Amino acid sequence: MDERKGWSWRLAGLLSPAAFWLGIFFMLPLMLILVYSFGRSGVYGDITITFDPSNYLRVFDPLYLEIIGRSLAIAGLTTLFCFALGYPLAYFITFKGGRWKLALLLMVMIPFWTSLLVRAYAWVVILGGNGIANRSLQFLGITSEPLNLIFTPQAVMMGMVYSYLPFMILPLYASLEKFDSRLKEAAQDLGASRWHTFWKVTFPLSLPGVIAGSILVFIPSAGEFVIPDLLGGSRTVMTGNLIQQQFLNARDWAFGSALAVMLGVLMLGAILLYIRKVGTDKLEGV
Amino acid sequence: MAKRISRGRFLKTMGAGAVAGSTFSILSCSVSTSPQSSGDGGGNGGGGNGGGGNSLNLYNWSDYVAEETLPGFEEETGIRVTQDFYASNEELLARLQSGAAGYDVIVPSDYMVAIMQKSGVLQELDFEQIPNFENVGEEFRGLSYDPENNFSVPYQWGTTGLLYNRAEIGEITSWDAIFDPEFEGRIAMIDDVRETLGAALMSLGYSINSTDEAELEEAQSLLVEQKPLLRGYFDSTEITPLVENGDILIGHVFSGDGMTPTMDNEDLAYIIPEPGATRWTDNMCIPNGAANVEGAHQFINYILAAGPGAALTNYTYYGTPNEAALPDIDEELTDIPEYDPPDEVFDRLQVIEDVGEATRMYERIFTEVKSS
Amino acid sequence: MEEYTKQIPQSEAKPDTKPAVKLSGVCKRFGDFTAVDNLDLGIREGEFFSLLGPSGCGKTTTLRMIAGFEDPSEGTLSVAGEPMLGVPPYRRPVNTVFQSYALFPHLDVAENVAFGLKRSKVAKGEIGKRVAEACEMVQLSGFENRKSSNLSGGQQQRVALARALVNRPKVLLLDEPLGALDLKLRKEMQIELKNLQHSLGITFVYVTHDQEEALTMSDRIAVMDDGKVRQIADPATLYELPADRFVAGFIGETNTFSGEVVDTAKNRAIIHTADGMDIEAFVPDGREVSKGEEAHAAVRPEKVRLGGEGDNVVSGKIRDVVYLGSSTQYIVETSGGERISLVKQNIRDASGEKEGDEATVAWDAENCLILGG
Repeated sequence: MDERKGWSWRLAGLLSPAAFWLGIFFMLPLMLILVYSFGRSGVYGDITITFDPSNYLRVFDPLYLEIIGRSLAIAGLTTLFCFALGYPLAYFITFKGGRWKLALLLMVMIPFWTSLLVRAYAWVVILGGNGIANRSLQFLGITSEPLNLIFTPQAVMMGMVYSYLPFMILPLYASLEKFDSRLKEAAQDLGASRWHTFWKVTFPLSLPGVIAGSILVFIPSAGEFVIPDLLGGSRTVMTGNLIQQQFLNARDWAFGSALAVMLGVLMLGAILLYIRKVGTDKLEGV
Repeated sequence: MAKRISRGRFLKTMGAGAVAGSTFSILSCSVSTSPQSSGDGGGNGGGGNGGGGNSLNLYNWSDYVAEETLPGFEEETGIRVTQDFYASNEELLARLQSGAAGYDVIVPSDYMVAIMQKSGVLQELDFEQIPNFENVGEEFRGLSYDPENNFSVPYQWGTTGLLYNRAEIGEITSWDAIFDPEFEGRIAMIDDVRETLGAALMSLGYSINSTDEAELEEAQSLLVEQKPLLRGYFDSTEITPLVENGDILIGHVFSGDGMTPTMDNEDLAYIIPEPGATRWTDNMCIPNGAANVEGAHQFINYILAAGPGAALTNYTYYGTPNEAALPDIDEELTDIPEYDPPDEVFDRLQVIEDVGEATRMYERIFTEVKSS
Repeated sequence: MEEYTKQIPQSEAKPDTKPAVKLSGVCKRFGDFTAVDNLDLGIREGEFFSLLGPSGCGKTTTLRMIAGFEDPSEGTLSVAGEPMLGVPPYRRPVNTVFQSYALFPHLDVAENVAFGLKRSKVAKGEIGKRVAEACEMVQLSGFENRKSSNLSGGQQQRVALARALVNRPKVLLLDEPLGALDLKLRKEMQIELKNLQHSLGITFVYVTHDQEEALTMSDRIAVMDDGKVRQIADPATLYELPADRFVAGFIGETNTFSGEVVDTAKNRAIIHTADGMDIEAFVPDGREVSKGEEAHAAVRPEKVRLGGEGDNVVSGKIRDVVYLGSSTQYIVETSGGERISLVKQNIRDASGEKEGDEATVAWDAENCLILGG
């Protein structure tokens, strides 16, 4: 019946400010970038609007493709590590947390209250030649000389996982929280051991959380540029760094925009594939 | 019954509206990203709007004013200064080009003044308001990037060289050390395309402003070979503490960052490497869109006075273009040859200039090196 | 599946074979609270056994201990002769039909049913066959690919049943499985379950608080209250010869009289109530009363006649007339204030007795039972 479907004018009216806001602050910048990507940048940073797809051709240069590929790989690895570390943690908090549940969740979220920059610099100090990490290793006699821990790709990886872990844990927790523990009993009753119960019942039902967490980690980490700079000594160049350079140093906004669009399209593609593989109906539970 | 809108229709309408609105606004407004010559720019004397009168926005390199510089200025003129920082000339330019308004005084390096002037971001200086300009030494007036000092007045000058741990590696005199595999993992370079690529060019005996493809290719291979030996590419100010604590043995630094630690630490030394190194001059300029143009002139004039000029150098350890300030410079500083290089050293120094179209090539090379 | 008949088949359980489930001295405590207190239970193979009692009596806890979700605090528990202490649920030859069905939402009907089979490593081809069989058994053929969210309550319940039965467990546990269904569906399912149990020959242990349901379906019933078993017997015995006041009151309706024993004879006793009635009651074998003792006697309403003769005749006033369709209930209040409920079949039209009328009620001693504690 007509009365059931659709929204009243009043509801549409209420939603309009939000839609308007999104339109201006989300769509407008995106459109701008898209338009710029077809433009041409002058040497001194000015940009002319034309329809010139040559910027996109430049993106297909092996140098840039390698950088983009590396970023996607690092983002993928980050997602994987966040999942490997975050799932057991979320599981533990949900099912074994008891009255400490809230406190544990708080501990996961508190680092967010500090600036990312400050936390990244903390890692520089911890992993430095004279930092706690090296000093402990030497104190325990495991190493005799300071190791090269900071300004390495490994340090970048660790910094990424460290920053994005909460983005994985929280959606996982939300998903696991909704789990009906009677299903566990049913599974065990039917002959599933504790491992099988987890693998065949708990885990599949937590997939909406896994998907949400993965997306929340993958997308921002593919575009990350602060951590590779701070923790990697600018030796690991990711797409974010590349785009930043185009906009700030090379004054080539057109190319930078094309890169940004390219990155966006690739990430969208990756996510669509991911969702197709894992199943969209799982997202309903998110 | 009130008419209903389906969710799909709502979203489509909003989406179309947003797209249409954005496209229209993009196309209709001025599409050049050269900065707004906003109404409150140039020639808007005293009063102005917003931050005029009693406050001044200084956009500067970090750690580039002495402790007493700003308070001293406030005491003398009653104008309160707020400082914002950038880490590279390119960042400064990008900010101005994206329309960031409200900065009254900026401090670009030599080649960047030329670029900014070509981009139309700067306004002309009114020398009636800068009587202290007569303190500027002859050799610092009318430099190539601004032959008539229409837009800029020198602030500090310096070199870019090497800070190294002479107790550990002995004395060095040239760029060779930073390419030496013996120091693998203990070398750091500045994350600046002109300085670092320039270091490679100069170590090969070429000009720092070369546009010759063959020479650039050679410099690139050198840097690519060097990359595995590096700890990383950093800001000059980040490199100094790394050398101090022993993580790095040889660091590519600006002269001020290089000489500061050597004052207290006998083991560290700063050199101007052979066969050539950069000499740069930072300048004070007033951008378009400045809110307090009168105050900006006052600030420039203040810096050029003998006292503040000397105080600056005594803090930053960079050279002063201010002749009147020379007598007040600390002795321990004037003793260092690197501080005031003798002629034969001075002649080896090169100045970075705008390379125009080749900038793209430089950028690309540096990107290739960093991601190799 | 054959047409279900209204005739409830007789139990074919053999009383002297090894018990399918045996609990000895089982106690279960949760902190200070004792849920099950010194339980002794022997469930025979092939029997339809019910645990009946009000909420909180410990019947569900007992079921969960048999299933393996809880371990007894004291006592021993065995299934098919094997002791089950410390054995987890997935290693017991027991399957459960849960009150909330607990179907796996991410699996369709066929996958739900096949779950247990996959775990016990049944061959692939065999799985398909048995799933189809099980679905047919519960009349869900054709529903194999539906998701559980697309099923009605009754259908979900059948899936839960099929999912449990397909594993051919030694014992099937059912925890108030029909509670969420409407009356008509419930009655249909009761008969279906009973027939299923009969044709499969599997031991069913059924938990319910609905005494009518228990009476309909069970071979034997354990009536529980407050963690203890009050009486274990077949439905008829429970109804006709309840062990104590609780059982008498819980199963069906009853009129209870309390008083002092003033006379005894073989299988007979007379008690004198506080308000002056002398009631002649039947003492079953095994129960002993002596003069002077306090005792209770119970008579079912359908055994009480309005007017007429009997061993016990009491007069009073009709307080209430309740028309029940097939019968009419009368509440008669004696001069002593005692209310006696009687039920009369409406063989003829309403006999004309109404509220306020004077009336006498009568019943025979052999229908009036002396109860244990």
